Amino acid sequence: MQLDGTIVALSSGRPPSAIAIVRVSGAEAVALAASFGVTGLAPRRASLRRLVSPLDGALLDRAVCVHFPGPETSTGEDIVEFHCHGSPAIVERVLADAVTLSGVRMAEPGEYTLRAVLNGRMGMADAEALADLIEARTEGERRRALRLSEGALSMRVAEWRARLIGLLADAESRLDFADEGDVPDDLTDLACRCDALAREIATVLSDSSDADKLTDGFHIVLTGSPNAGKSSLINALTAREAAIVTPEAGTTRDVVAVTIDLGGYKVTLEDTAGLRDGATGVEAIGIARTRERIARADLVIAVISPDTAATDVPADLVVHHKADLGGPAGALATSITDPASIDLLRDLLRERVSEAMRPAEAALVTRARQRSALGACIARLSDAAGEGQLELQAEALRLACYEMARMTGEIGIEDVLDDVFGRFCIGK
Amino acid sequence: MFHVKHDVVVVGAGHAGCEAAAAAARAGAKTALVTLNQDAIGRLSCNPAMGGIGKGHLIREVDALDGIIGRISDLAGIQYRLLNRSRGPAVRGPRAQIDRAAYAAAMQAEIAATDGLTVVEGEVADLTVDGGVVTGVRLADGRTLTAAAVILTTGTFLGGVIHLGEKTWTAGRMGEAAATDLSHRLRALGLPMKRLKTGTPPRLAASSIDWDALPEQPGDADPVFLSTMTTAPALEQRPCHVTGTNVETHAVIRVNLTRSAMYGGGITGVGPRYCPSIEDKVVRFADREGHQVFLEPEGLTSDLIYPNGISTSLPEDVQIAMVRSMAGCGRAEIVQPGYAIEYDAIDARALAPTLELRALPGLFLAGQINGTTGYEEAAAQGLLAGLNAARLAGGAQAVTMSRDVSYIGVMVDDLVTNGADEPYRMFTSRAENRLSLRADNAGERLTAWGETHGLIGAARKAHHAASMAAKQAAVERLRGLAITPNEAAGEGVGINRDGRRRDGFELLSHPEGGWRVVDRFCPDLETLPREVRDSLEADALYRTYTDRQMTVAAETRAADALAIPQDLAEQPIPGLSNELRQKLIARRPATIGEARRISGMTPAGLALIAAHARRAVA
Repeated sequence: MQLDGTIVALSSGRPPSAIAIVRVSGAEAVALAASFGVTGLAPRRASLRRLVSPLDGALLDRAVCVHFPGPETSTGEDIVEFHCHGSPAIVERVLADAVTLSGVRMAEPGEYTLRAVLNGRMGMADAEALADLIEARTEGERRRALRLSEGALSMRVAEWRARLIGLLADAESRLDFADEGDVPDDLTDLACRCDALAREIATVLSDSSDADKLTDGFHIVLTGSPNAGKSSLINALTAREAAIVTPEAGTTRDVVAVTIDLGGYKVTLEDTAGLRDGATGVEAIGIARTRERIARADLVIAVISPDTAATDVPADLVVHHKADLGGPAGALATSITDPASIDLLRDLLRERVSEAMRPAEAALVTRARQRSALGACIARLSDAAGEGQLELQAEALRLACYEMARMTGEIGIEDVLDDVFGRFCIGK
Repeated sequence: MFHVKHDVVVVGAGHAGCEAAAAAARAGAKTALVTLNQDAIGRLSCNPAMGGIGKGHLIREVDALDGIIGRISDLAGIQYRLLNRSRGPAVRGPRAQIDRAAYAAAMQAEIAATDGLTVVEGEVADLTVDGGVVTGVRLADGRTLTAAAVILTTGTFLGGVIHLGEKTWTAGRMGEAAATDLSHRLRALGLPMKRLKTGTPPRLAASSIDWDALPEQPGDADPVFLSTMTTAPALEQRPCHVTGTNVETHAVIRVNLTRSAMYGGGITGVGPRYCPSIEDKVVRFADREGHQVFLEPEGLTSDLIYPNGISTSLPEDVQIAMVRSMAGCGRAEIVQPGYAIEYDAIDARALAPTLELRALPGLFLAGQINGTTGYEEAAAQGLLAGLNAARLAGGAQAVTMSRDVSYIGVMVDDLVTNGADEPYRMFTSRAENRLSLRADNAGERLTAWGETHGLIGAARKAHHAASMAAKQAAVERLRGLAITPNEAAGEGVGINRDGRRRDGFELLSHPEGGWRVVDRFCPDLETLPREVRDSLEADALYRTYTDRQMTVAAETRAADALAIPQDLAEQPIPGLSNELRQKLIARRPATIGEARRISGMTPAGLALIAAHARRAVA
């Protein structure tokens, strides 16, 4: 990534929108504003100005403009923001005119944050947590990212690191100062303490084994006879026309998935091909795919209706749909003609989902890089616990420190930078 | 005016100076060793002992390069102990009690017998510099010695000031003059000088100690020598004795603390944390009720005892009260009081890894002037400085030693990268490749390298060649072994019955294996020299880890290779703390690897520097 020059990008959501913020960062930020006819901005004060094209002097927009003088800014550089009207045409024209100015170019993905880290405005761990926070699409992801950005993991890591250093120091002192009267020779509990630390890290790691669940989402599969009303139930639950609904049996041959935000979690509802014996051709392929989905689902709902035959697929939940046509009393019953019954089912699902997602939200270790470093650290700690000779225990502990250092970014710093900034997409 | 031309002039004839002069002469340089007093060559200023953990490793490395400190020590050794015997081979360090007089005599004979080496008695008062390059030295009596390279090994003599209670005077050692003019001259050259401090305990009269009251500490029955060339002790062996300070001793010290030069505020120099004075121990470890003190004989013919563990700068009357409070010392007489000494050292970051001063070509430094403490550390630097001085004189490229291959490399790299805020002593924990850098394999690591640079004499060459041939043959023999789990079980070695045959190294490193078992299958290896067998056993024991270390070292080397532009320190690096910026300016690391090893370097700081280095390259 090229790192010099003044960068410009749309920093708010994709227009059309109420307002669109074009942000400029770098040494030429103030000069760029002047080229657009915007001068005399008081630091950190919003001023309404006319934006004039630096190319032909045409009036582009009337925008609220703010100047944040560096280095006390998020990137550590001079920043100018144009809060334009959120029209795609305005934004495109402002950006297009801006990059014609000498020394100005479009920002690369993640470049604002990269500059913030390089200019010492943000630490590596903060940047990683911020990446998560920005990428968070649901309330659950946001809550977890916020907790991590507030140091939930880094504080644990700092404590482990200190203990690891303590263990190594205990071993090294016995090795280097064996001839000193003051250093006791015995160190019988070293193996136990290595083991205890390994177990503690392993617990956090295994508690985090479901971490990806939060981003993958909770998968609900609806099964049932063709025409049992699965599609219409999904439509009612999601209030969207995402699945195809026709009266002809076997229309929904493939899996149709609808993803929604339910109680702050990503939930995918999958409408499946009906399960019917004796199906052939395309329908048989659809049924095979349905069975595959069922096997991988977090929750399987069997949809039964009075006008279709029941199937014997094992399900977590049985819903008696088309309740307006009749059905057993006391059962979980829904009908698209009765919105209250749909709300009841939605509440029930919300409860199941949030219960299932809780461990994933509590996960401290969310990245493959962290998992591999901590996993290797545990392995080295176990080596240390198992070695018979003190200098070999010390060696294993040194390697454990080396792995732990990958967590704190001391070693393999290039990999960390790539991970952070490759995943970053802000300022656009 | 009297005027002599040399290739190399070495100033100072302590452990750094003797080793430097000997190495320069071995490497073919016409060398002069300048000392204030011919009889003081090879004098041990402090404890009568050589080697130990880390220090023994250094001696073996100097020895592997055909240096002299190990052989001379063995000519004067009166007690041998292999420290860390209960630990593994990587951390075992040979140590010996030394007869001071025998050591000095053997060293003086060695120096006198070395071809191309002349001793010059006199005080070096000045360096001669021409066009920014050192051209020789001027003595206090007006003589000048010209040379292509000068090595300063000034020890505690450069600007030396002794502190004893309330008294303070200029001296290089008790009863010897300091090098004061040279100190002024170096400061005038604008070199980054600082003050360091060390101390020594009182010397006791052996005849005044009640030996029967004290437990004896004998040497090893099966001595391990400091030089691999040594086969038997040269002198009669003597035990040490153990006494210790107690509550009464500590009370005496506490009451008189303000009379100590150290605590009276007279000393500004920084002393080593790991070699504290007894005052320091009592203050910093106030909860301890006693500290061990070893009573070490100073020699077979000497009546002096060195009480190891009570270095002090308290006044003499307090020293007597303190000593007499210890067991067996109730009637002890002090022959020479303990004292603290402050001396000049240079910030070693001003040195290239060749030990040549960057700012003053032709001037090399070794030993305490570089901020180290210890005879062994001094000798190891002396050897490298001597070799490079000779190479400079001979028009050859300077050489450096890698920290992956030797403790000498670790030490020099630490010094030139971080300098030394307190006197630097070698520890095995300083070496990343500790399991590979062993006393038993120093020859394997270094002798061939020494040969290519002309350091190795005929006797060492033959000894090394024989030892390597024997080891290589044994390695092939061990690799060729193919023992079934059944056969191993027959010798009491429990191995998974997986049908896989084991080679000799696997049997050697097996907890139930070792030479006892291997000898059953290869009786011919039983007659190998002990050092070869020890070395093979260590190789087998550490194989898993040394393989992994090589991987880690390769990874680090790749990351560390990123070049840092010379002017990066001047460029603004926003976010870099002022402290790190100062270090960057002072040290000017050429690569990310060098920057990584700057003390106090933080991961964030390194990331910033790496990113800016890359930005500059792009």
